[in-house]
Amino acid sequence: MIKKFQISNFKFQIFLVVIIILAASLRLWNIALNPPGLTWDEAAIGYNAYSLLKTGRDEYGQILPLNFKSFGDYKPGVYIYADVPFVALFGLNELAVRMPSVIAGVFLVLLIYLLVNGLFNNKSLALSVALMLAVSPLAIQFSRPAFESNLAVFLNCLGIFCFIRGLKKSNLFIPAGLFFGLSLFTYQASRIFIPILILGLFLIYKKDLSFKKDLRIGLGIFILFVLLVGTQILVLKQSSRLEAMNYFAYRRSDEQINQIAKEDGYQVSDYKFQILHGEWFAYLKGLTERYLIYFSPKMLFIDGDYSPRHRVPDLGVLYYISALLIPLGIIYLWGRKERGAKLIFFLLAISSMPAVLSRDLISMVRALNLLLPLTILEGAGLYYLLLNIKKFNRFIFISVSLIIFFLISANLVVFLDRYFIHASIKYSQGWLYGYKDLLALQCDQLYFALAKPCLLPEAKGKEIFFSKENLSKYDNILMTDDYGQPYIYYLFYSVYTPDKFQKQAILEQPSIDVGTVRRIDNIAFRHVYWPKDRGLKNSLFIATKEELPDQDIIPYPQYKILKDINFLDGQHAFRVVESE
Amino acid sequence: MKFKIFNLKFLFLFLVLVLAAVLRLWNLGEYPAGFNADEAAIGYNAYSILQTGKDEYGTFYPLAFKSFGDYKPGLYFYFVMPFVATLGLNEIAVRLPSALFGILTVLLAYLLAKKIFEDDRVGLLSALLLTISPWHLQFSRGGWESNAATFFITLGVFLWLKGLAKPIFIFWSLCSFLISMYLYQSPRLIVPLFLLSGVILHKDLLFREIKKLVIFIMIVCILSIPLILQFTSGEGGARFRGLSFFSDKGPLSRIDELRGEHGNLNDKAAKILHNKITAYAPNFLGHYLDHFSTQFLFINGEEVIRNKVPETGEFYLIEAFFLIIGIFYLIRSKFKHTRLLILWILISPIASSMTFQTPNALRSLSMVVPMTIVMGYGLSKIFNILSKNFRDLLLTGCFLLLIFEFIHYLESYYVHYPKRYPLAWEYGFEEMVSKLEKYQDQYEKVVITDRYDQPYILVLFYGKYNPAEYQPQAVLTSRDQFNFGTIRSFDKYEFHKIEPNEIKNTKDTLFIGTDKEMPKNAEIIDQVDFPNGKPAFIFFKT
Repeated sequence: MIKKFQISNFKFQIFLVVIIILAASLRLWNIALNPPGLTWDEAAIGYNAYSLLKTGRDEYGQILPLNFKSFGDYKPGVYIYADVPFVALFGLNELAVRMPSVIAGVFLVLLIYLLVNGLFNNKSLALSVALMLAVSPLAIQFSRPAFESNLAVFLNCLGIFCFIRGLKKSNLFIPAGLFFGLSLFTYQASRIFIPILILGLFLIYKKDLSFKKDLRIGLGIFILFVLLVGTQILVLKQSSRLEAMNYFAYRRSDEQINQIAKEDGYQVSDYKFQILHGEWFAYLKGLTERYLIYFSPKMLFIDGDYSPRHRVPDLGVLYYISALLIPLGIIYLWGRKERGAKLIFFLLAISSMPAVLSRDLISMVRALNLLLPLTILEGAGLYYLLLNIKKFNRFIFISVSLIIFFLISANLVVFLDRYFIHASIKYSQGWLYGYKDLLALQCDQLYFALAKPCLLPEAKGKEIFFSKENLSKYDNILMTDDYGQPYIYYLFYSVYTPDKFQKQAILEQPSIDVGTVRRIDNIAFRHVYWPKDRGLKNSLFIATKEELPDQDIIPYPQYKILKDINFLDGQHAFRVVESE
Repeated sequence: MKFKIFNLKFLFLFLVLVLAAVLRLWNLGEYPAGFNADEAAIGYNAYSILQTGKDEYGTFYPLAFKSFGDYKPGLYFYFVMPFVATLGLNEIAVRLPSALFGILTVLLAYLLAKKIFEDDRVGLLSALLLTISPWHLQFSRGGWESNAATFFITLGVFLWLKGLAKPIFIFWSLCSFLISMYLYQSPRLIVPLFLLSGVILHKDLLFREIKKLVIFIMIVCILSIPLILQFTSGEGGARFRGLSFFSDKGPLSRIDELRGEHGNLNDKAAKILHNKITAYAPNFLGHYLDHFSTQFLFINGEEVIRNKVPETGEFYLIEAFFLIIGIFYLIRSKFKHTRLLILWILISPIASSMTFQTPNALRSLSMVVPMTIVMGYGLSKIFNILSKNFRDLLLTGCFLLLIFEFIHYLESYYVHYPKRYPLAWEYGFEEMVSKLEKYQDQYEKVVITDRYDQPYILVLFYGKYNPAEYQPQAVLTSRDQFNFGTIRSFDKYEFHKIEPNEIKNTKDTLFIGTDKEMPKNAEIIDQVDFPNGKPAFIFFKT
């Protein structure tokens, strides 16, 4: 490691170690089972890492790409490369896929301690921040699944840390440039966030900077990465994701516009209409809404994000106690002379930018950089609170501190209940649990001791449809794409030989939105249209109950229902039917 | 030199007040377009008291008006009385008190902001922002008791701050708060909480004058006896029961659902984690925080169309920027009364949070004044930016956007609002009643649809029906799910949904219904349309 651990006081070291162990257990516990399934992106990451491991190429046969074509979204590749050693070690499974994110999440706790201590020279403050990050629901939720965003946040923080250290020891500017550059290739949002961040760093610290050689080299490395990104977007046209997800691609409906025009009596093309009711004002409103929502107390403490993969039922993004801690943190930090305080408020102001410019109203994953300033504010609030109570006598200090830690623990317990018990049931559909139950046959691989081996109780001795011997006996196999990207789950769970797939891989992409692969061997991945498809003999059908309805199958002896699979909340997921 | 500046500030204040008056008074009878049932109830009951000394049900000078069974607090009705006496029974008479209090609130905002921040400019900017505030304008135009109450709450705060230097003002402050509690329900919860905070914050100052304060409190308690009596009589609680957030059964069923997911229903952990407290506490917090949500404050306002204007939030977008600056500078400021200001903001939505229809701009109206003052403070801070060019650029940009949004709001209010939400203010009754008076003598009975809220009161109001003749006939029906009753008939009028078989079986009856209630073979006699051209009332017979 480049940086030396400069924690001199033994007591702080012990506390820090305890906090890191806490963070690690919260992020590793049951990692393979919770979240209960893999997202398309997780499966794609894992399989591409496996493909790299075996063949040095991605799933489409491209040698060592910077961005991975995947579903046509050209995923930035750093996470996938980082995943290769874990796939090698643990095999192709959930644990391996999620390890880079988990490790980034755990090391972020140490890193944030070092960063805060470096900015404010205050070990107690740094420790409070580390504690809040260890138990932060936002951090835990995004450190466990394989979110490239989480790895990017870690790299960003690493870059900031190196930059701050670089002000004293200039040779650290070089790794800073490297980490910022890598972040550009870890997650799309970084491509908006990092340039603004670097601009801010230069503005805030301009008095301390001098254009020495090291700074120029670091900057140069970063610019190299920027040029690489630019080439891909402009030359190779690998930017469809940015086009599909950006806010400006969406306008108000014609119906809406026409209603306004009718009430006005203006023509839509009239310049007066365009000034008063033009799209520009709707954009301004939408952007304002998307920016302010990350500061809306209701969103932060009650509602959270909408997407089932970014949230936990009945709980917001932050703990209730943060409603007290964050204002206190703001009071403590605002007006402090250390430039670090300016940096934190700057991060607070800009971290949500990538999410603001995107189509969705809220997207915690794209605004994940908020984790840094929010947690630092929480920690500062905690520190400030304890500092003020210390003025009273020892008894009050101890009892109030105990109450505060009890409240934090209570919040943590509530979160753990929601996350480990309720989220996996309520959102098992969002996590595509069905695929796992359907396809996973790898029960004999080595799992890390904390995860249960062979996750499903019925797994041992269950009929394994997707072994190669079994599949080859059918003329046709149809698998529905109603849940999205079925092909990648087949590849993942059957540990399909990469070079065999590379020869057949064809992406079908009708629009700028994501595409999919329609065929592997004798398997076709598409919506099952039973009135026509029922004619296929000696075939296997895997689809939803709506596609394979009871009344069209059960009365007919030539069709046999092999299996019905449900999500964890009892809703029907897949039905497997065989025809003679 | 000083004389000139003094004059300029006075001039600016004068212009702001003139603007406030124009915005609140211009065409007050026509906009909002229509006249809602609550306003009609206020007007008609005031008229009834003027004529007979009794309300519509024959009660002598009541403290609370039974009206639709919601027992409206009575003070606003009595404010309306002199206006009805001089201007007659019309929309302007009912709306004028609220509009006048609205204008005075702008003046108060200036005085209050100037006092708290010790700066004329903050006062002027706060007054300006309140003058053009969408939230405040919405409730200054209309017979809103809440707006009158907001004036008295603001006055109470101002007098309280003055009272910290001269104790006699504490007495006037308490009186002002008491008046607000006689005007509207929300202050009955908010004011005690505010006074509690005030006492805690200023306990040292107050304790010094404890002797005088005790006398003040005793007098005020005597003055509040009627209020306390009303509260304990049971009538006051009726409306609350219907609206309270406990009547939302959603969290209750969620408890069972969550306990079930633990596998074992008797699990102790499941019971500790999921019970009425853990279900309803976050629920309440959610209702409270609704009042601070982006959607409510800056983008879309609230849901009830009577309380909002299309495509506008409670504040302008640019005011979000002022608010953020204001909050951050408040944290570092050394002014004595900023904590009280922030507490005022935090307390104001509490009464509204007890209901399940949140956010509610009407019930949390008193929040608009302190929020606007913080925004005024934030805006004034921009004037302090050192770099002249950046400051001028930023200020120009801010004011341009503010002016644009103001014009956009005006257009939305006067052009789009009546066309998009004609039902918000029950547009059409005035025309309907004047046409009714033309035809009604030709029929034995008139049946009027109840599709629009409380038609009976609007017929009474626009028809200027003789109160002495009406009172004996007033019979309120039992309460519906929202705890409202209504009047189904009086004189030759009936008010209910017009059913197809009813039309067939009665004769010599004039039906006034919606286009959906009218059968195809009916003979149309006349019609009243909404501003967007769609039919409001169709006069027909078989």
